[in-house]
Amino acid sequence: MSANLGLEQLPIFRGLGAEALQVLRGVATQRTCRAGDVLFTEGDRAREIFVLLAGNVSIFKRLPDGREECLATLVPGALVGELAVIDGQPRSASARVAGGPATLLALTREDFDRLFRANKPFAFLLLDRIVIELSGRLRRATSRFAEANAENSPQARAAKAREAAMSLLGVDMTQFDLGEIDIDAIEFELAPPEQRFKRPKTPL
Amino acid sequence: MSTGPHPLQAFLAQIPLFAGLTSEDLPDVLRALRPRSMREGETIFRQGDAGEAAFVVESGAVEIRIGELTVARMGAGEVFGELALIDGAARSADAVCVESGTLHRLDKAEFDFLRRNLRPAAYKILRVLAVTVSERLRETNDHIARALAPDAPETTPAPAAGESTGVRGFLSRLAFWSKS
Repeated sequence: MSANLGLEQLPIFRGLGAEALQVLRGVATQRTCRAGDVLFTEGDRAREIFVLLAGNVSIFKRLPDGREECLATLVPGALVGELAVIDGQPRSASARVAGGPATLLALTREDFDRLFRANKPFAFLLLDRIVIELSGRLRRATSRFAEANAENSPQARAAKAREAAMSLLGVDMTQFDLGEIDIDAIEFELAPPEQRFKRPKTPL
Repeated sequence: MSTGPHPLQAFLAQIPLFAGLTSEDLPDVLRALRPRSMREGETIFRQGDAGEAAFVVESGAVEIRIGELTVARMGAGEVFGELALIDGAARSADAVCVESGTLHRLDKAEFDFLRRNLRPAAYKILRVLAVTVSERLRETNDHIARALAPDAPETTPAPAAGESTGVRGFLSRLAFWSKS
């Protein structure tokens, strides 16, 4: 079993270094979900960041008229709910498992804060990667949204706005070439329950 | 060797970008921060320039402009151009001094040095920047949602009282969000 390769396969953690990976192993947990399971709902307090290991997760936004629109479907390797570790604000969209079973890695905001306050390189490096990613998304989404506003017809505007939404979620740039992620290897890497930092179980 | 607090310490303490920095972080920040005077009419940076520094206004004022449109005015204690610290991307607006005074220039290359060496000072600053970016992402998310509704009359967000309306208002807010 390739126990040392699992987490490293994920682009967000690639090149983190042995010590940082060891810290990650001590705090991350793995979740298996069914199609339709809710990861979080728009307006919820943000508690966790997820990395999608297998399956798909769809992101939904409530529109002003009350309908829900699917903005994007995320693929393995993608971050889900990453703003949670940044600002702890209410979720700006909903995330649900799409199609079939999904497996996710989860990290709580609380654990991230604790590691950051302790000046752990893992927390610094993860923040660095997230902020670079978010900044790129903001620039692309902003320029696409300006294009949307320049369109005359509502249909063209909506189409451009949808492109902006994709940029916002990073879906336009998320083209991972991971092959199959070795989920068993990742699960094997994560610290066993008795060594894990004690926290109350948060229901999905 | 000085035993008292550094003269800049009190100034930096009031600036949100530097919230959370301790006296231990101060030497790191000071190596990246340099004061310089600015004259009325001077261009600090132009749209399209590489983002090589963030700026903190100690005195005087700077206007952020897109073409002829002024989108913000930065005064004492305010920071501009800070998103460049994240990725050095091209400036999305001009910054022009409209009132002579003193700026503190936070050099990106020095900041990157701190970052590579995993200095807490750099990451505390980066965390504040991350909150700024995420706030703007959330705002953009809301505006996009409005634009996706098929019967949205136009994508211009509802302006707050006193804000300019119409496309000009919208573009000025967009530019403000992306000011770097």
